Amino acid sequence: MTRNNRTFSMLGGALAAALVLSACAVPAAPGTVRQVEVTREVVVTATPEPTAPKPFEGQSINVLTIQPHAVATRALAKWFEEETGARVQVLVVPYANVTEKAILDVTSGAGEYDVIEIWYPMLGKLVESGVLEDLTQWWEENKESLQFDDFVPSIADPYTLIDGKRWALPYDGDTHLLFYNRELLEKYGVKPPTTWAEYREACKTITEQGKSEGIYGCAIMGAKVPIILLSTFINRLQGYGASFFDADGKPAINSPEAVAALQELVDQLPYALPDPKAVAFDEALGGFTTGKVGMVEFWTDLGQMSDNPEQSKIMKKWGAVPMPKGEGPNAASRPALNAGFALGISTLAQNKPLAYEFLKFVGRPDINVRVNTIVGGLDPTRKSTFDAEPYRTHVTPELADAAKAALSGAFAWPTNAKWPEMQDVLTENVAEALAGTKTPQQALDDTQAKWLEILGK
Amino acid sequence: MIGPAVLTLIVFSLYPLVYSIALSATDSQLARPFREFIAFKNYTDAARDALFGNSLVLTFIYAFGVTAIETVIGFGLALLLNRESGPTRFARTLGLLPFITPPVAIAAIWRLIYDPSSGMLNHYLVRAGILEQNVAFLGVPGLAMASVMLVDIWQWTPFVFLLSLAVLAGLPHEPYEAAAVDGANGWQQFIHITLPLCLPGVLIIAILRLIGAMKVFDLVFMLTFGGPGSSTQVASFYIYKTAFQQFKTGYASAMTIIVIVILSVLVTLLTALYRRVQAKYGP
Amino acid sequence: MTERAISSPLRQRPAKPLHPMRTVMHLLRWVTVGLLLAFTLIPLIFMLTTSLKSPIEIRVSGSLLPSEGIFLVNWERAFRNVPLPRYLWNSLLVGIMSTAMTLLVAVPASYAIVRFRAGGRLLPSWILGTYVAPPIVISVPVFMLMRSVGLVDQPFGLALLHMVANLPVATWMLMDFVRSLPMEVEEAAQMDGASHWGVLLRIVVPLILPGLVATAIICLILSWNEFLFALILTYSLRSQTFPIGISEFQGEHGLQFGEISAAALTGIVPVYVLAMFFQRYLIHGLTRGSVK
Repeated sequence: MTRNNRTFSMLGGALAAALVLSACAVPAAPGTVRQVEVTREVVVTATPEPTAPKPFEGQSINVLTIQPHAVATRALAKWFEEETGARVQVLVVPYANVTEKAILDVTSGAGEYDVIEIWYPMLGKLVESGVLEDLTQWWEENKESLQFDDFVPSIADPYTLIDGKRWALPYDGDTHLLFYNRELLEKYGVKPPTTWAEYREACKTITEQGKSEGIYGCAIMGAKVPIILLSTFINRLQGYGASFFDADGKPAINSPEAVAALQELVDQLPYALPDPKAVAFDEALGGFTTGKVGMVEFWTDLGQMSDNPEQSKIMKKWGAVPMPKGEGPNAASRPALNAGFALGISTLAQNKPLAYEFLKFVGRPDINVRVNTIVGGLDPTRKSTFDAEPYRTHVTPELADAAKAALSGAFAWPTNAKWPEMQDVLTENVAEALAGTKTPQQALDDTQAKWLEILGK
Repeated sequence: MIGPAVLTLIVFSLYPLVYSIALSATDSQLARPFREFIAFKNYTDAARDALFGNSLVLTFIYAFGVTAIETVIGFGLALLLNRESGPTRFARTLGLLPFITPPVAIAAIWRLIYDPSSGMLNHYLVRAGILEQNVAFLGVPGLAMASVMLVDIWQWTPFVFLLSLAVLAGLPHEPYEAAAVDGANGWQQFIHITLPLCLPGVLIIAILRLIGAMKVFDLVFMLTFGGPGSSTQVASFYIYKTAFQQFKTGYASAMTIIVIVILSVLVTLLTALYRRVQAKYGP
Repeated sequence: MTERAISSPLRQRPAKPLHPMRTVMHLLRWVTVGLLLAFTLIPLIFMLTTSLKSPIEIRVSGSLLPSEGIFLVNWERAFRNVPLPRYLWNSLLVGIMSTAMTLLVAVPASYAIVRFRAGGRLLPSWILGTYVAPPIVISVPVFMLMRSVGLVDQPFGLALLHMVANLPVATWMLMDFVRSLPMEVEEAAQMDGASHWGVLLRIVVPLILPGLVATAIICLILSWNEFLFALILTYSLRSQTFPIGISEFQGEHGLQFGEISAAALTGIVPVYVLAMFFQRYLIHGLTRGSVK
């Protein structure tokens, strides 16, 4: 019996442990939506009177958003709730999974999401998959309040238009600038570059002298994640004036300009923060804000992060210039729309009227300013936001102008339904070129061949 | 009594398997399952797909590599610590920790350990003079694979060690007593008694680890995303990418079936090997 | 039980006179344990110290110990930015439900397989075979299935999948415990007219209780750590578990290593405490079930 006694006392122990565990984990009331403290950072602009009638009281929608935008989307949800009385549940997923989540949700008939965040190069795929509502008519009906012409022209169509119809609302406008550490560049006697060759030389100069102290001329994001690696490649591709397709819409990814651009990228690698193939968002951000890296191509909000005393050692010591240009007849400084997001409505949305209402709210110019002036917010999509005083004070006027300039005339990634597949092939091959297992020419020839196969040409 | 188990198996293993086999014969996309019947085209495509071939080779290198290292170290440790003493109890308790830690957390912390500019490994290796300058452990093709494998070894060697201790504890006494009478020394006892008697048990542990390692996904997903180049793109990650980045679920299903077949053959072979070893050395 | 592990044959050899070789061995053992300790613990200690460093120090220095003093800011933020208690609660709920279901299915199955050869050779190899399949693509049909019965984004749905995933491990372990029982007791009970179920519930289950506890804890831990099914099957706080919660610390400002470390420790410590508390049974269960 001693054995049995022991087992029973042990079971008692298990119960006790379970109780302790459950006591540690105080559950939130079921169904409560998490509230992030955003009020502190919010610049209050025209909060509506609380006494106003609330037409959607008691109704609710689910909004699918990516992790990097959780704070912003939750802030919008909160403001929308205050204004309409509706409840917005923000459902967050890692950005790498957002497209598969949306497709699986609609294909399976689950219909959990009403509003869906879209990485814009996936737009064609989502439309083809039947995930998105056609918003053409909605845009037409709400012309006055949405002011389509106020969206930065270079993003307005790529973010929303497939086959002549509009499917989405621009949400987060992203592009790269070339950021530099003013102090480091001065110390090593180099100027902010205007061409990629100058960039390589500047990077080399700093790295050769600073390496022993852990200082590198540049950080290049070469990790094998499409949104990271292709941003880096496309920055150079644009500088050399290459494109994905020729005038007839036929793939032209192995044009001499494209090969030269990839060759330039490969040539830059030895001088960059080691090893570019493992440098993604975090590594590049960390290297720059801690003053170890002279230059980095990065999204425009790096400015705010560099001035955040908690994360940065280079406060007010940085500058930003447009993307360098390449060489050859087509060389120009052309930024690219790297990343960038839009909002759409699910075909299975359970409360479509409220989903439309939410989109209308998010699309308002004043809301665009408001959400772009909180910490952890988005980047503007509207011209009026770039010019709005609260935004300019928030990010500094210089950065606002630089970002606006970069965004206007920026090159958009393809958005056709085959792009996810094509993008993966390109990522694979550019990664091989970076790893040295293929020459740039080979990598792009292989991409071209595969693209022709995918497009059935 | 086996009703619930059989029902569970039919619903959750047979159904998905049949579904996947059916899917693998079509040109399906995530949003358009069973769209167009193409018979074996996905399989012939897979046979020609150099990246898939490469991913299988990498999977084998990874799985056999970590299994061999974990088994040798884990069993070696167990031999060394095979007595009820302070060090053993201590090691046994600690050994539990790595494999009960969530892989998500493990990957995050190892990413920080490997970080090329502020990582712990570089910090101390450079300081100790072993490295001249910082190294990007996850950025150099061969090294990245080794770095991912090291995390696996960290996570699972203690597991092999614990199981090996149990194998040793189950050994019969008589052969040792007989050997002692014959005057065999410790080394002879180890070669002629301990090793053969342990072989079946250790083989089972190795098979367990091998299957686990063949399925590796989380570590690659969170540490390297298959890069640099395609140097860490193991089969499960390549299949994931095909299904959820390219949305080609038909093709991904075909590759999954191929992997399942390969694994089944491997497991059958190893089980046969186990039976033979068991018949020869087992109790 | 563990006592068996203690009576290792090597230990029971007649004591030899002290020999320089033995002193070397003893030293070697301690050195090995020291190295093992370092290799195993340093990453975990690094996790703890990272959670206590200032955010900028994490970016700048890779030293094991914080050099700029101790900061609690990562812990504060981890709890403020992400509803950790809710994730932990969901994990506990899913873990307990899936463990209970796993045992309900695995106990009778393993008993019937061992004692009555139920299902012949097919059933055991089928059960183990499910362990072989890589779960990634299988997750799509499984998602469709769960959706059609309305179990998407429900703790119960995730628990069901964890049950399926843990069934091979649990059955494997339990089969061995049943096998090790002496048949005589069961036979005697059957002579007295007890049914198979009666024997199982009144005789077998109490006898294998330690093994049952060990199996339960292992299932609980496996469920607690599972990521892939949770990622696919859960949508909201209604069912999202702790590993999904940790993955949320990837924000606009990059991976927040300090916060991730703090959050991860919050979820790991209860498991460590549980494991330490049931250490003997856990080790016993692991080793008995899978090796013999």
